[in-house]
Amino acid sequence: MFSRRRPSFANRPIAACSAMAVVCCSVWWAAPLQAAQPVVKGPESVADWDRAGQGFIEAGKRLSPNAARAKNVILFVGDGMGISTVTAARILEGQLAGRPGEENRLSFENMPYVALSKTYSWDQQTSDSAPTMTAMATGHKAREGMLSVDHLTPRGECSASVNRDHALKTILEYAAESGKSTGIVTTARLTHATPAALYAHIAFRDWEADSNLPELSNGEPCRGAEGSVKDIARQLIEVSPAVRLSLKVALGGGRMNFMPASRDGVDGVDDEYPKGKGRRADGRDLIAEWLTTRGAGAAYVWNRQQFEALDTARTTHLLGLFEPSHMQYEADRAKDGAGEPSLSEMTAKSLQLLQKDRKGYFLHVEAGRIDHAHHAGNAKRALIETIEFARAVRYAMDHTDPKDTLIIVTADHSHTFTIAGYPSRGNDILGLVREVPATDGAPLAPSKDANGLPFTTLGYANGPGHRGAGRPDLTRVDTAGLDFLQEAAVPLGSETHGGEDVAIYARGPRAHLVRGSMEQNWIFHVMRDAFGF
Amino acid sequence: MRSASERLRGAIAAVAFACGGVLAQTPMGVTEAEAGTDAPLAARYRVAVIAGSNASGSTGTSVVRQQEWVFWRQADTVAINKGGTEEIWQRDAHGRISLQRVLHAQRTVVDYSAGELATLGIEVDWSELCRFGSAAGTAGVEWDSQLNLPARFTQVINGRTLVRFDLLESRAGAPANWNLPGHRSAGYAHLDAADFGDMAYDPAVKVAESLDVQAGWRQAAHRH
Repeated sequence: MFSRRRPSFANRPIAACSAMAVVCCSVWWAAPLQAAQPVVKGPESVADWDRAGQGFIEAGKRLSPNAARAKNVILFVGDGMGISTVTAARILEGQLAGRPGEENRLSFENMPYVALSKTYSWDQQTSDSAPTMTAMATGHKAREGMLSVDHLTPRGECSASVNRDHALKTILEYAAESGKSTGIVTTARLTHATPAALYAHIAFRDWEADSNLPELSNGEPCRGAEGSVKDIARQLIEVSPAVRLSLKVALGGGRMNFMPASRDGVDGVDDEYPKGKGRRADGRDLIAEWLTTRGAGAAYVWNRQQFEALDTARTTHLLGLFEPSHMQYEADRAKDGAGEPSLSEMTAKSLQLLQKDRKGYFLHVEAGRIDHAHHAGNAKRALIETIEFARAVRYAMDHTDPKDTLIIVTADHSHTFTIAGYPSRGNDILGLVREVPATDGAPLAPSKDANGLPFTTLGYANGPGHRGAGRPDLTRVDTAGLDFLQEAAVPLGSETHGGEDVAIYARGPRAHLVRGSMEQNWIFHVMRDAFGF
Repeated sequence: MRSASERLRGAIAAVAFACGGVLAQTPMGVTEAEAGTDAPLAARYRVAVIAGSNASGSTGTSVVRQQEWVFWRQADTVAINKGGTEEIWQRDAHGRISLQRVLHAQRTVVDYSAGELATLGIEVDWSELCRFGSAAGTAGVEWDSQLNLPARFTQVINGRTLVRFDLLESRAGAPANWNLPGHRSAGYAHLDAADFGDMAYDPAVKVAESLDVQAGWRQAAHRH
């Protein structure tokens, strides 16, 4: 019926080098033994190290802070993109291009300003995405699971008035009120925590559709009750007049939260999955409401063909909902029946729409599924998501002017993802650890643990990759396979977030304010200062 | 810690997965052509856990727990109602297979997209799903070649718990009083299995993760 592809029982022998590392094997590790040359060699000459270092110093000397106001701000968030994820993705991207990989730089690693972001929330040492994005969106650290309401908000608060009293204005709302255009792009559901923190104010991130609200919360009627807080999907449609006018682009997944479960006795049937039904118990079709409340230039798309055919010159307000829930992983996107755009394609389309506004814009772009793949203990999918995220940033860097556009790239939190052992230069980042041989000319061989078993470079501190009965023998396992789950030390059904700092990269006006060790909520203050609000 | 009854429910819940996991060929040497086509049908099974069993499955006679499951097979849907939970497998026009776990106690449906199943390393064989994922490798399998379903078989779970399946009845069209999968969950909340990592506090997530662990899909579930 079905089976779990257990790496320890897989029967797929692999070559000593994976396909990715074949180039490395043939170029850098082909030295004959008798020459006693290092088996592992980087491509650099001795002079290259000094030359590159001097180049860095010269570039630094030419760097001057741009104190101008920002016309535009773009906030990129890699959900769960801790520093180890950036490092591993950088290496994988380089290896996919046939290089050793370590010397590669993801697009945003070329930005001039970098800082560390402390991601704890008001009540969490290791945070979830709700308070971390709230911090970046509003300038305030908040409570676990809460979106853009202050930390005095009671847990499970369902009262609309109480949520409203504790609401914190977001950078998107500031931008809207100043007359700028705004946009949100994500590969997760549009109602998921990270994008939702920009437009929704609610005590619980999971209240994405009205059917998700509990009948009772804190002993009080909630779902469907008069005076109860609006669910997140409804908040996206019923935003303030300023945001309604301003929010020109909203692209992502989560279609079901906008569709009625049934209407006039007829099930709300999904266009892409006919057996799928909407999640709205109130019978409202929020997609139709987007079209009727956003004017004649409003458009809605749900597949790649519609997305590509969109006339950006005539479209004023675009809603794209490409999956019932989250969009496909980038690694699986080509298999999607209806087809859906990549994150970089959505970023490009959004910029084409937003750049029509001469007053400027605020755009948020989230790679939402780095986090999901890590939770599943599946490093390759997480890294492919990260590489696509870097591609989206590259598009933005190439199509905006650093004189007037502040771009910030960061993560909301990290994961327990590790890069470990002493793998040699150019070693397949998804492969088994193979150290530099102790003797020049000696062949590369997998490093062994205390029990004589090889191990991978990548792993997790916890998660579903834990093997219950001792470590598996990975000698003949394709650890670079898409579905391979890296080993985890602590058995958990889902891998967890990590609590260490994440990086912030920036370029453009006021980017120099991104510096040193920062509280995560200070990112909001940098953006607001750049805008001049 | 889980109670004895919870462990027993776990054993029952695990059976269908275990059956599916080992049914790599049509049982009893019956070829697909001989076995006929997988016509749409609904079938009732009695599922009994036998006390005093051992790993050989040859002793125990006393039924300590008994349930009735309803198996439902259509062109693009295969579903099992196990009483407290249901599994609804669906295949779309592109051949992608997804799963919905229905958790009645939590009034929740957990959606596993094709991509999420792949991320968990799950390979699904639709033809085996259509045949109840029954009982190759187990003793005493009786195969109904007309229905393309096992009529009777037993399985040993965790080397000690004997579970016996008996086909009670099948119908091309299920009577209204049969508890067909998917018919009680229209108003339930939905969760995406991709969100489990952010929802460890949710009781439905804990149950679903436990079922995943029993199925061998995850190594361990959160136990707060």
